[in-house]
Amino acid sequence: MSLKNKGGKNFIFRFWVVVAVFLMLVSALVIYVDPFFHYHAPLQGFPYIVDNQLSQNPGMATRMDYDSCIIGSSMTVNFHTDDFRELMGLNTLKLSYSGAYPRDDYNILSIVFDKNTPARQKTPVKAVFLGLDIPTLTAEPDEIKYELPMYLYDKNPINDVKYLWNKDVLLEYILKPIIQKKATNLSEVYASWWTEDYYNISYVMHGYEAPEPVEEEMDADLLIEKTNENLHVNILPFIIDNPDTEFYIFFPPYSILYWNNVLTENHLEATMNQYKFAASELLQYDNVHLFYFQNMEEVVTDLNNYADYTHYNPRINRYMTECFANGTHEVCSVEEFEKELEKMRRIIAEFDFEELFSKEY
Amino acid sequence: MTFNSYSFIFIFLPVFLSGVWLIQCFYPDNGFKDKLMKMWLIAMSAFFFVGYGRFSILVFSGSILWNGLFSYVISVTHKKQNNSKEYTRDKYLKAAAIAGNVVFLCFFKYFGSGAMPIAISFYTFSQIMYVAELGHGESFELLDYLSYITFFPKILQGPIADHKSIKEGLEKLSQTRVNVNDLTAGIMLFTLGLFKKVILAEVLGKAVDFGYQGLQGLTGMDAIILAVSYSFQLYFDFSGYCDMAEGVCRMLGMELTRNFDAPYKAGNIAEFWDRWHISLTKFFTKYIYIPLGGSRKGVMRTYVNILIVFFISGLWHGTGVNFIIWGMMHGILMVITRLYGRNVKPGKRNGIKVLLTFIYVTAAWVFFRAPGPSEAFTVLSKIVNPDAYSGLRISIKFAECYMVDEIWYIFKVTPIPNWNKSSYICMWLILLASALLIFVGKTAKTIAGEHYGIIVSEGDRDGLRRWALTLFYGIIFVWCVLSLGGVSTFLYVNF
Repeated sequence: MSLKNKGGKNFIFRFWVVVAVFLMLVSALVIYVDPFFHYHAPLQGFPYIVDNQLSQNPGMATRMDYDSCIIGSSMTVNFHTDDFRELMGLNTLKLSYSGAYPRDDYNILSIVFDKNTPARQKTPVKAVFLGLDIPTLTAEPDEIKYELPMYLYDKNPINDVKYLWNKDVLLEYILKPIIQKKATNLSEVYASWWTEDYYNISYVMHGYEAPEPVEEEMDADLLIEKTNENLHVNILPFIIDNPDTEFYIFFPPYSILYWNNVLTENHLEATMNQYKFAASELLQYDNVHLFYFQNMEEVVTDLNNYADYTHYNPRINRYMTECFANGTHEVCSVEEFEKELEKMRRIIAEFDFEELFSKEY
Repeated sequence: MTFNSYSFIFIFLPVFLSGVWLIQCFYPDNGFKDKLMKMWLIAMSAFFFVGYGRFSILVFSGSILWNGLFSYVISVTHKKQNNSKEYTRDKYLKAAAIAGNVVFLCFFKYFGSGAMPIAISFYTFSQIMYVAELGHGESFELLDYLSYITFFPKILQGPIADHKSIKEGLEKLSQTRVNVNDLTAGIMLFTLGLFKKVILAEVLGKAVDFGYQGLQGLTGMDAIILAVSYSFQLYFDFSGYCDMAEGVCRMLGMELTRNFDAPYKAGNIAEFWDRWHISLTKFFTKYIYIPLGGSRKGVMRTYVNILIVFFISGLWHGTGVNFIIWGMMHGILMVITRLYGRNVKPGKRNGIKVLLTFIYVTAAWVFFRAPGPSEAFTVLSKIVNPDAYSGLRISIKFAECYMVDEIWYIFKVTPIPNWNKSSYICMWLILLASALLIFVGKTAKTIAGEHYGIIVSEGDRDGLRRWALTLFYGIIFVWCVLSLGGVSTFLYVNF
């Protein structure tokens, strides 16, 4: 072999040694700290930053110590899990996905109820608090809001390289917490960025854009089929398979502007039917506690409680937690639910939309 | 699959190279060895392409079927060709095949609903080239044709290499062996290309995306930096791809057609097109400009031909008025340059001319990147309107886009993070480093060549340098690998 070849051989050998050593060091560090909780429970004393729902929820659901969880969209991000401990004595974990579709709920609930996870081997699930956004029940049953980092959801160890050899994981979730020394408070994790100042009518009305009016009224039964499919594929199986778990399912209190959208798009009857159908399906199970918060008139008609047409002040989250604990706003039968919907219809009918839109903000 | 993916770097490439090596070393030297090598290349290229989805595969297969059939018929006709009648038939067949390709490309580019089939512009031009060249001493061989058309290093973004050069390289492949020197040079070039793509282009791309999402809020300085950043991003993106493609071929001991040669060092627009997407320029010259008459039919006709070529180039690069404006801007400057003659002698560079050419090319890229003409004019009007400058202010939100983690953590050990100008420092550092690499630095191929020379040198005094280089490439490579997670696709891949 010529010296010429020797130089090249040495380079290739040394190059791969350097690469292998660095990648092994990085892998070892990621596995040790495990900021997405993919391999083990959190290290004692490490100031973990938790801010990535897609990447960190599966690990948290698998490895953390909890006996109840919060599932749902951005309507659930402002709950404080400390409130659940204080009011209901539950050790609750927030597993929200902003903009979640029913399939997103299904994906995380599959992990929550997986009996082989360390979390389930320690504690059974006593309660699930599920925010149900009725508009999302018309999505395709397998539709998800954002593409998931599947390497954190599947059991394939090969694609874990995307986690182990990832600059963001290394810098944002290992180095930054070490420098910053400020761990995320899991009670408030994923809370929205709106400060108290944003919750006012002026901010809401500036950001609000009414949809294009629709002349033809939607068929009253049009939304039932997809809603039925979504409930039976993505939600009800967990309720049926886990009779010992209490499911606190609630319809979040969107502002009156949400109902303006429903009216403008001409599907009030279809939406009311959809609510009634979903409630009638859910109320068949003894382990379901259904809450209807949408007709809290003083809340939903006062846009100072909102930052946009659906997102309410964290105070409302605290109030809803109190309701879960004491049963206020709980609906126990289809008849009761129909009465609640009647009240909602009255609120919509009596609200002066003209006056709301005629003012300057 | 793209070059900048874990699966390509850690699975596809090692498997591909191992397969090539096994065939070279263990398969007996008989007539089938060359065929086996081509089959391996085709299979791996198909595997490389398959991730782009059923639609892209279907369209590519359709293109292969169309051109394969025509090529076969032309080839058969050619063999029998003894008289002018059959020669005419041959010409018509070629014209029909090429017309089919043009219709095929136009249909998907302008009339197709939704997403474009991946790489359609590149392989369609390769198909046209193949069909047009058939008969010039070539006959149709299926494996030969498929290995040329599907050859994965060039399939996504070119070069639009001619059949002969690829064929020669592939035929050599079954006769030689992958050797450590070629692997060394290939790894170096690939690593430098990867660095350009996943580190440099990506950082600039984030700022560019941010800028184009909020054009109204940009100041005059923001608009200038936005335009320049996109110029740099496109440069690193495309040259990074070309370096990686050349690097892969070099690992095989092949030379891939040169497609990129420090284009922003050009002293005029004609020289720019001699350096940017070289194979495309050659294609347009050979198959559009010359058949139109080139410069043989008078001065006016020459200018019209130039404008036609750049009009078509605009259409090829994308749909919409923006791309036509972009093409025509290049065409018009090309005509003006032609009017006054090219005054840059090779080897003698004039900084002012280089700067002016860069400014013009950058202004044209604004149309290339902007979603529509109005957005492009917004950027350009902010650049030229003195009222937009408000004391040369640069928006802090825009500057923050350049704040990459790596630099930020270096800053952390200094007092800089406590200073409210730290984002600006980061931005200027990135822009300055990019400008130095582009305008002053050597090309990746030259750098890799020099480093390769040191690695294989016999002198003992180079021992330390050899180690330093190994460490340098190792660290750069690891840095790139760690950055693969959040990296976008190549900009040129959608054409």
